Amino acid sequence: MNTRKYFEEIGAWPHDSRHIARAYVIGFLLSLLLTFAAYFAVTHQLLSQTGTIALIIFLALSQFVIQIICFLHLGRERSSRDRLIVLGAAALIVTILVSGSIWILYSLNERQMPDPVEMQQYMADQGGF
Amino acid sequence: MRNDDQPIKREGLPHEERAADSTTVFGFWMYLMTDFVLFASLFAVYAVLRANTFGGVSGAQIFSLPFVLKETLLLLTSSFTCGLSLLAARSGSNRQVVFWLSVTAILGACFVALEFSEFINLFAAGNGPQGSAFLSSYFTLVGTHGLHVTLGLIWMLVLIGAIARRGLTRSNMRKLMLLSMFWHFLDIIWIFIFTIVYLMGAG
Repeated sequence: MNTRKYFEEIGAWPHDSRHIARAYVIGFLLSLLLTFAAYFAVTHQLLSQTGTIALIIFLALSQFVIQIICFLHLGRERSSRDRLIVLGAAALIVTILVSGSIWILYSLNERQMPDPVEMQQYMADQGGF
Repeated sequence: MRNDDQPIKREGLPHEERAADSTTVFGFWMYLMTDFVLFASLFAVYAVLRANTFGGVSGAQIFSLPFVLKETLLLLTSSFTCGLSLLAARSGSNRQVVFWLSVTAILGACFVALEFSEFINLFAAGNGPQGSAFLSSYFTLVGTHGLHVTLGLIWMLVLIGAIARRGLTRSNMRKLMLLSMFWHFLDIIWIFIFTIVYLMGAG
């Protein structure tokens, strides 16, 4: 039985998988570090509110990239090029979807909603819309 | 016994079998990316509705950060042990693969149990998904992720059984790779749930 080369042969791992164990360990340690950093940034409130939000979003995106590289083994290899293209397309759709929804609906909120306190009162009185 | 349920021969896979399995991996990647878009739309819904609490509880009132950190560490560690099972598969050790997959499944089951208890507590306090738009979007987003993890757990148990019975055949190796991709992907989605729902909600 020869399972040694299988994951490389089907293109799921880089062609040279000698450093794959190291990738898992590094990925795990960095993810732990980033998770704790985000957690303590929020619990200890080291920055202003906007600063904290910007920081934890940055930390989440870094962890996303690290796990894609270290756990899902996407790299510059030929074998991961197709997967990278699909990931790029998905990321584009996701960016448009999320930022577009937030942009449009927050702007609608601003244009149409009365002051939140008034709105709460109105909805409470009416028992909903 | 199906053709692909055989041990891999010493000289490796013939070219056409190699091409077939790498197509399967790519196809599964396509599925994961569509799932990514599905989660993105749930994130967008949550981001839009998170302030609409209808006079009820807000995120800051119901989220406990130490509890969520525990969930996060369980899922992250399970993602790592899932990787260790692939390393064990590469060195051809059935028993190690079964061991690491079982560790992964136990960690995953603890994660699901914690999430389930969180949901039960919310329901018990009258903060179910019918409470407000915020709660509906919260339960939909986090529940969809939890459902994925649960399905992944069932898949993992079935695969542990298959590997214990028939060993690291070509079909089991392929399924192990797909399952690991699925599992790592769920941990990646959880990073954003942790950050956007819990950290930003509680902060």
